[in-house]
Amino acid sequence: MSEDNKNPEPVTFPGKPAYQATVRPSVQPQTGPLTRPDFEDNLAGFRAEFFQFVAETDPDFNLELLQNNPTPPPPPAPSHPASEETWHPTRKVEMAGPLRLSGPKVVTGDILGDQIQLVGDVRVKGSLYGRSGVHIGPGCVIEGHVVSGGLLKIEAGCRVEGAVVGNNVSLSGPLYVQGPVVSHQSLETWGQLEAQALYAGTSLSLRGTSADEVRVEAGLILAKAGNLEVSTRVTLARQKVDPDQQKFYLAQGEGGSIILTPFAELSQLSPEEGYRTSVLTTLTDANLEKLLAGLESLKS
Amino acid sequence: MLPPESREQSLNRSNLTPHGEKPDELGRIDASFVPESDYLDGGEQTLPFASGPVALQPSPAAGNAPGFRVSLSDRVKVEDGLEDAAVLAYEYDRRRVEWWRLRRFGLIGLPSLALVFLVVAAFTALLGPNFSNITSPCFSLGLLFLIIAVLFSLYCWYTRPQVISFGRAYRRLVSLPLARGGIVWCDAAIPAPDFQTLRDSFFTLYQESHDMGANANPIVQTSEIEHKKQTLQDLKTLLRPAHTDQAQEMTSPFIPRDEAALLDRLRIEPLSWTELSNLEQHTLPVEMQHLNTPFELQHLSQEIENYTGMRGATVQVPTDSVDHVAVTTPLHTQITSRMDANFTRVATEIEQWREWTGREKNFYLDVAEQYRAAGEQAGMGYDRTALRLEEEVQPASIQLESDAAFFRLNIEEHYQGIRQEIEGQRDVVLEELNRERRSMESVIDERSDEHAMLQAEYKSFKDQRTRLESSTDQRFDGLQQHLDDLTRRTYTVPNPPHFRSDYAAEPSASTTEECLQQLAELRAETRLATSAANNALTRFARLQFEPLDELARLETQIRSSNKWQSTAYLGQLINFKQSGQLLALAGEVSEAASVYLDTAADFERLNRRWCALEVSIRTLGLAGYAARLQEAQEYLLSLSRVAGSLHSSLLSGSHSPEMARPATFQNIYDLAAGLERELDELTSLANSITFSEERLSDLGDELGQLNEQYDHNTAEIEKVQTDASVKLYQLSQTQKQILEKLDSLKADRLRQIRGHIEELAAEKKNILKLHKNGENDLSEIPYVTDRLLATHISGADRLLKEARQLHKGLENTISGIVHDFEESILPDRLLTTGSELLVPVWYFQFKERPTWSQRVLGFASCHVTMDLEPSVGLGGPDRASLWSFLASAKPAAYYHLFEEPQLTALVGAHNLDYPAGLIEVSSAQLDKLVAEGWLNRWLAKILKGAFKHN
Repeated sequence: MSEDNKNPEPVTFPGKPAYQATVRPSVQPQTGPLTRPDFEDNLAGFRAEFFQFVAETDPDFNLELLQNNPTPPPPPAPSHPASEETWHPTRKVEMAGPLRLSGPKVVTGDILGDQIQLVGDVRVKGSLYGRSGVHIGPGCVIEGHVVSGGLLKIEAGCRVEGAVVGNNVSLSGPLYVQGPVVSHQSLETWGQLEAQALYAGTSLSLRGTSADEVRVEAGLILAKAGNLEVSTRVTLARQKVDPDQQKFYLAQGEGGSIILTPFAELSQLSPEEGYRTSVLTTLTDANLEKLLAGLESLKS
Repeated sequence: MLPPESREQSLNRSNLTPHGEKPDELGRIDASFVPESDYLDGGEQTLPFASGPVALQPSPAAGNAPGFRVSLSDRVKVEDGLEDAAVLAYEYDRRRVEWWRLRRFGLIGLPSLALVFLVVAAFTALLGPNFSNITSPCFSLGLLFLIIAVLFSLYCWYTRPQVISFGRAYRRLVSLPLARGGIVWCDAAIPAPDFQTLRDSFFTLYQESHDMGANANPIVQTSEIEHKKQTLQDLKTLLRPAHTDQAQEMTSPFIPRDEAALLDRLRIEPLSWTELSNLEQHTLPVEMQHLNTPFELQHLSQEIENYTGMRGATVQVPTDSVDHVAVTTPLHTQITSRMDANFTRVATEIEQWREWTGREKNFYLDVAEQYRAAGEQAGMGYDRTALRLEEEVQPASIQLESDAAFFRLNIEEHYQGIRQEIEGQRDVVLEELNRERRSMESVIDERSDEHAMLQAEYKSFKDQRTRLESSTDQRFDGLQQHLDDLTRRTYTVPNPPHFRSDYAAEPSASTTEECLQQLAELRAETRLATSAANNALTRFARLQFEPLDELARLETQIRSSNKWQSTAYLGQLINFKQSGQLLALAGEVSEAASVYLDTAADFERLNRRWCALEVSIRTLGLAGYAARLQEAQEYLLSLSRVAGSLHSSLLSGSHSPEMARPATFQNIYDLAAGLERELDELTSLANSITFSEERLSDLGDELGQLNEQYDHNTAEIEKVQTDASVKLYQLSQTQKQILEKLDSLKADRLRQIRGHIEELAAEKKNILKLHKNGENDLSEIPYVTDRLLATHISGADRLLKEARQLHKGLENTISGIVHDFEESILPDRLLTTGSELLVPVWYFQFKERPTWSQRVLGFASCHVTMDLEPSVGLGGPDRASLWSFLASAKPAAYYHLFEEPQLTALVGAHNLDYPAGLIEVSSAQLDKLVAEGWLNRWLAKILKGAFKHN
């Protein structure tokens, strides 16, 4: 505020005494603890800051006017019974930090946390949401979905009865997933795995020993922008897959048609040359595509 | 030329045909059609086929003849060339007739005209002495027409048709006997169809399609991909033959039965091997014909035989298929039904592929549904957490809102109070100032009114003064003028008269007595006038001029002063008492002046009278009266002198009272009195003006003071208002600042309180967005599977369609050929070996000159019959023929060649090239034709010239 505003010239009228605002005693802002409900001292800080500003802006202001709010205070926050079992944060202090559950244990209801870690035989009768990560130890059963905003790791012997969705998904078999496994980025599996469908935003790798098998209900698995690495037996739609013949790079041609290039023909491509969409499917194989391409040339 | 033998016989009309012909006896070269009934009636000519036409000549050698040719006549033989000469002469004659038709009038008319004129000229020359008329116009015309006729004849000769080339070629047609029976005609120049390849394609198609449909219903369960591969491979294999000979156009060499009937009706001459090899030279070139036509056709017939023979053998083949083929079903029908069944199975399999497409799509709908459910439930988990966190911070938020509302209310009330106080004080001061202002306004109005009134009065005074000034000036000038007129104006009197003796006058007296009397009268009148003038002179000398002098003095004084100074004399002028004397004086002077005027007039009259008398006396010669006349002159002179004295007296007076009339004096009095009165008024007006000027000055000063006070009051009011509004503005700014700060602080605190909840909401939004993207990506998979299967299905569909088309095309082609073949087979066989038929085609090239530039005309003709003209051929002499030709342009040949358009079209005579077969027609042949009565002699000569020329 400028100096002129602070000390304005008194208004003078001819034949009248000069106007003077009523001089009020200046009051120091109240700094003591409030009797009203407060959250992290935000209300007290608010009053202190405001009173100080008013005193600086208008020294003539009587701060007593701003004391003693006659409105009755609001009711306090409801307190839930201690017996209630909630597996998600109810207060701010509970928001951060990992949530670790050790089994054997049965959890009824959904679990939501920043980082969730299940150790031992934990059975969750609901879904599991890790905001920044989920780690499910061996022998757990999730009767709902598993969703993670970050890394998602499921170890051997687990069963998920819903979908598995995460940013980076890592699965170790033997494992049973009733729904689809969708990773927004990479997806890695090791060992025996059974799932409805597999999808990876970048690369997808299926590894395991020769005794292991990845069984997928869908007829096609797809890595959107990356390689699809297969080093174990794979069964798609109850048919065994020959990766040499049935793994393709996929491109979109004119008029929305699909162009499939057998993996073997472009296997020398390095990742630096750009990621392509890779598919593994039982709907076709390299020989069939070659035959169709031959028929196309026959037509032309 | 000798006529032919037959023409020496008498014509028996009863043997003629309805057309006036007698085929045999008229020497007809018989190539005409033989009626079918004639053939049948002649028992020796009965042929094994009952209704078949006479395709082959009933010649003894016909059974073994290797070939036949079409014969125009039975008189001439192939090798003697008479037929060629006749055809050439006939065609040449047709061209020559056309040439003659266009030019015959010129060729006949022009020489005739020349001859007529020359005969007339010769006749007139014979009549005249010494052939003096030999150079008559008729002779000139005759010569002229003769020259034209010669030139025209030369032109016609030059432009006559000439033969460039003439030849004969043979088109070879083949009659193909079939083992099963019947005979069929083929064109040897058209290659036989590649029946072997066709058959191969057909049977390949059959073999390839045999196993195709079986894969669609596999007994052993193999993978779907294997199915697809096998199906597509089958279709591909099936289509392989289609892409090799698909474009091949099938042309059939078989001549259709209706066209072949024409050949059967021709008169045909059997040929020996020697004749046939001789004619080979005249057939079309080798490269234009199929080399191994007999072999190919033989092979074709063998194929057909095999095919028909296979019918019985293949009926057992399709036993396991759904269609039970009857034993009598032809083979290609069996193949067709088998392939149709197979195609249906493949179509069923493709339908299965379509079902898989739907299955994949539904599966992925389920997958996407699960994925979406995971996302939705995650969102619900976030919502639940957010709700609990909201509960935690809710009391603090409510309290914050409440405090902020309380602060706002109090602050607004506080500043509102201050604002009201300032406004109240301002209103009081303004009320007082306004009251003062109103009182000042009323005083100012009053003074202003008075000032305006005074100004108007002052202005009227000024106007009045101006008016009085001008009026007094006018009166003063008028007074001066009147006085001047009164005292200084003089009478105007003529100069005194003088005696004159030179007036031209008539003699007034005719007698002496009259003259004497008139002299006496003149003397008396002169004396009277003189005495009157003397009396007037005397009275004038006694006149007194004092009053007039006084008046003149006053006038001089007034003239030398201005109007203000003249007031001193105005009183004297008004009180001038001697006006009566002035009037009398004026009467006297006026009378003297009138006497002077009378005297002057009398003198002139008397002078004229004197002159008249003087003339009279001189006329009368009264010298004795001269003395009396002298005396009268003396009287007149004395009168003149008296008048001169009176004149000088009148002029020498100091003043002239000419204007001394009562009205003049009254005017002078009025003017003087008015002037005096107005001068008094003017003096008093000047005083009034001075007073008004002083009053106006006082009022102006007072008004100036009042206005100054008013302006001061206005400035005071403005100042009070401005000061108050500045103060109010500052107050509202402060209030606004405080309230804005309150709002921003409240928002900050609220953000601090709810920050973690907002972050959670943002996180939820972000994760749901990511999830949504994943859903879109996931939905690509069914699209990919769809497209994959659609590609397979469309490929298979297309292949199936092509295979069906191919099958249908092959079926059509083969069945078409078989149909043609079977249709063209005669029901009964005639010969066991095939033979050839050679159809002659003659071609010509004529050179003509329709006007000047030459034109080459080429054409071909195909004749079947040659007929002699009976009327000419029998008895018409050559000369008669010539005259007939000259007069009517009828042809000079005695025979007629009949063309057969169907045959021409069948052998394609107009579309052939004729590189070989040039024939030389010899003079001997033409002479022989002449000798036998076919041609007249001169036509033969012309033809020889036209042909030899080339």
